[in-house]
Amino acid sequence: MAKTVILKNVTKTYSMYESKSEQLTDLLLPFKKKKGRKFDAIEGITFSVEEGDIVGLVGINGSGKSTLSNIIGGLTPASSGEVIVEGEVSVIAIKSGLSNNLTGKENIEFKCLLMGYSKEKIEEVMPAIIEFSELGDFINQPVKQYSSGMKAKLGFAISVTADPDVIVIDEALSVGDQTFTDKSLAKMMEYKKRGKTIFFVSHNTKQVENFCTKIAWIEGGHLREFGPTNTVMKNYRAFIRKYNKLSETEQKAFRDSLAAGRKHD
Amino acid sequence: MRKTIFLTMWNLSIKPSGMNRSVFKQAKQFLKHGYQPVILTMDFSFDYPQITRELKAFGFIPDAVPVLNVYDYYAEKFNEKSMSAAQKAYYENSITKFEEGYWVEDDGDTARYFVNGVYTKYKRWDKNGQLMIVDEFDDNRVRTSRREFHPDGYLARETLYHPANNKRNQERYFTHSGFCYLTIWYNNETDRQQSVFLFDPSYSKAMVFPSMKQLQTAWIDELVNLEAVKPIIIAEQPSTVERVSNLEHDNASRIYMRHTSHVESFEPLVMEKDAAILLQVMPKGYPIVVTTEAQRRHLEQTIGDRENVFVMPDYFESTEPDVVRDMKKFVSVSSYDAGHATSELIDAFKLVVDKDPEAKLALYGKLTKQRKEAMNKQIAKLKLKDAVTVHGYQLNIDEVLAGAVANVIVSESDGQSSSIGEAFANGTPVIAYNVAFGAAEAITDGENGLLVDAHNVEALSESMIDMLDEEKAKKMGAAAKQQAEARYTAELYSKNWLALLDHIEAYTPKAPLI
Repeated sequence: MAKTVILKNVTKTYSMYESKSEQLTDLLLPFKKKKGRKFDAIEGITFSVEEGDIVGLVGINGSGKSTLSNIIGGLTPASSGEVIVEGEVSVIAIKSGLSNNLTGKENIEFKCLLMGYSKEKIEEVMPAIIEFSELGDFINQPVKQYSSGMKAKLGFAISVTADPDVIVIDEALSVGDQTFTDKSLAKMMEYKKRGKTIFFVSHNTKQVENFCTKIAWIEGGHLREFGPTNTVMKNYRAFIRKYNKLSETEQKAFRDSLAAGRKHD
Repeated sequence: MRKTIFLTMWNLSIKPSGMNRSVFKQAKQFLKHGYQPVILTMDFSFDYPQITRELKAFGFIPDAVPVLNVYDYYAEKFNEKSMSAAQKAYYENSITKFEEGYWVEDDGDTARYFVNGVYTKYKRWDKNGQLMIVDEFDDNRVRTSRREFHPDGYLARETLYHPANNKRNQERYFTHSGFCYLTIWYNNETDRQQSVFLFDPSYSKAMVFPSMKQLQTAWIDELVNLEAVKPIIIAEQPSTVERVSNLEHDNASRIYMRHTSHVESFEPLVMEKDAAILLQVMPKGYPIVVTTEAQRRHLEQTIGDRENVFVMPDYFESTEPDVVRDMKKFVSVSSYDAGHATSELIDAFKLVVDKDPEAKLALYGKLTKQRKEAMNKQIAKLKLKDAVTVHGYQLNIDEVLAGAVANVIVSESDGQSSSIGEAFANGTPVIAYNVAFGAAEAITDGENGLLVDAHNVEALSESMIDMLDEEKAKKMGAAAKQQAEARYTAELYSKNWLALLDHIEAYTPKAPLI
């Protein structure tokens, strides 16, 4: 077993502006004191993942799961720190980069071209993708007419055909119907057997528990726990229970104190 | 102002194990590099002042390192100035053998007491004539209580037994002045602790804990709170890992150490039961310290790598004893617990003696009586009485190792084995079972020792016969010494540790809000 994804002290900082003019001033006057405040979406995250690991990213809303999965997937760069991903990586998200104006088929062609496939190769894989996506006739309709479940199906079908080494699934399985989810999970299990690394972002703790080998629990942009599913999920569930028992003001106070630690000038 | 490092252990003895010694070496290096180590022990013993004195006299523990015990701490803290008159009178009366009003059966160090033919009391003295225990019996000769006396001459503990099954029901612990500072209730059927009460003479409210475990945690917390600078706690043993992990406050930095292997079996993977809490703490990001690289890698793969596992191999320095090496003599230095296949070693040595009748094997290490008897029985059965000797625990192991052709270790699993390190420091090659993590990492087969497939008796004997080739053995001994001088030095050891200790805040996870 070897390490496939290594994150060292990874931080992602966004600038927050109150108005467009503030943003423009910061852009146009580079030597002036910046007006925007900084917000650390994730801060100082360090962990490594092995071949064959299926890592569940869990945490309450706004904790930084999606930022982290986008950084692993190479969709957004980290502000600082080091991200090493061995092999091809592919991200499957609800909005998985499909073009709304193109039809399903055109989207398949477009994404395959981006992955460097030849015309012949695309023709070869096309039927399999359409078959897996379960879209049938809808494949010739523009994507803007798709439901979110259909988009996820298409995105998932394209991504798994590419046979990537590292796969990031961001909530994509939570919008499809149960049969498609089961089919996708079966596909993931096959990948797991072949020693691929999978990141799985979901609020469905049951799914996470059944599917993942390790869990990274993100809280307020920090890595709170990282370890075997049974250990970390036990603590996470206990945390969720405690959190849900808090009154709304207490929950807000908790979220605010987490957020306060992430904002700085 | 030195920063305090609490080294938490279960117990100490005047026959320190390899693990104990490794903690003492830790204390020595921490002290040398500007920290104030304090050793904490959790079990009950009358002898801690004496044990500490001896370990310091032997040079195991530096003088400036205090050794604190949870029972002694509260006995001292809640002690009133002097021994009460009642306590004194009670002791004076107890210590006399021929107490008034009893018929006494005198048996030297022990005595039985009768009143009108009924057996009511039993006493035992130690070799120096110090009273140790007084037992009392009911009319049916069932023991009702035991009182144990401190070597300084006061009642230290009283145990009351349940009449139903004569199992302990309650224990009371006393200070020097006769104040009961601690009471423990037991379930007489399961022997589990039911409640623990701590009493402060200046405060009339008793503090209650579910068991000693929680009191021990509260004690560590109390010590931590007395520190001006945020201290560091190192949990050295599985039993103390649990106590340290239960600390709620964030006023001390914590390091969890695993001196031994964390794996019971590899196929299928079963972790050691006593490592369970450590493996639950690891995902939280606290620093975990192990002694071998292979162990770190295994933990990273199975638990998860968030760069909180550190490798700190122990260091070994020989006292360079002036002994002549006997090139026909093998030794085996180990702790002889269940994880050591000593009977296989004796079987294998039979084959060695068949080949070379002059070969000798000496076994050293802590032994229980049963284990020693079983070993001697096997030796007699194989007619090896002249060739194999059983010696028990040896304080200065360097003499033993430096006088041997090789140290043979038949351990089934280990962390970094101190027996291998000590042998290497003395220029003695090691023959060992090829097991994770210690042996496989330290020994390069054919270079500084020989690795044998575990439980292969024939291969084990062949390796020993191989080692009887003097030139080969000497060459391997030199390589072993070289390895010790390159890899197991105090300089390297303290450099490793200081890199963690000096930046401990950076390695300490944030305390969760919920």
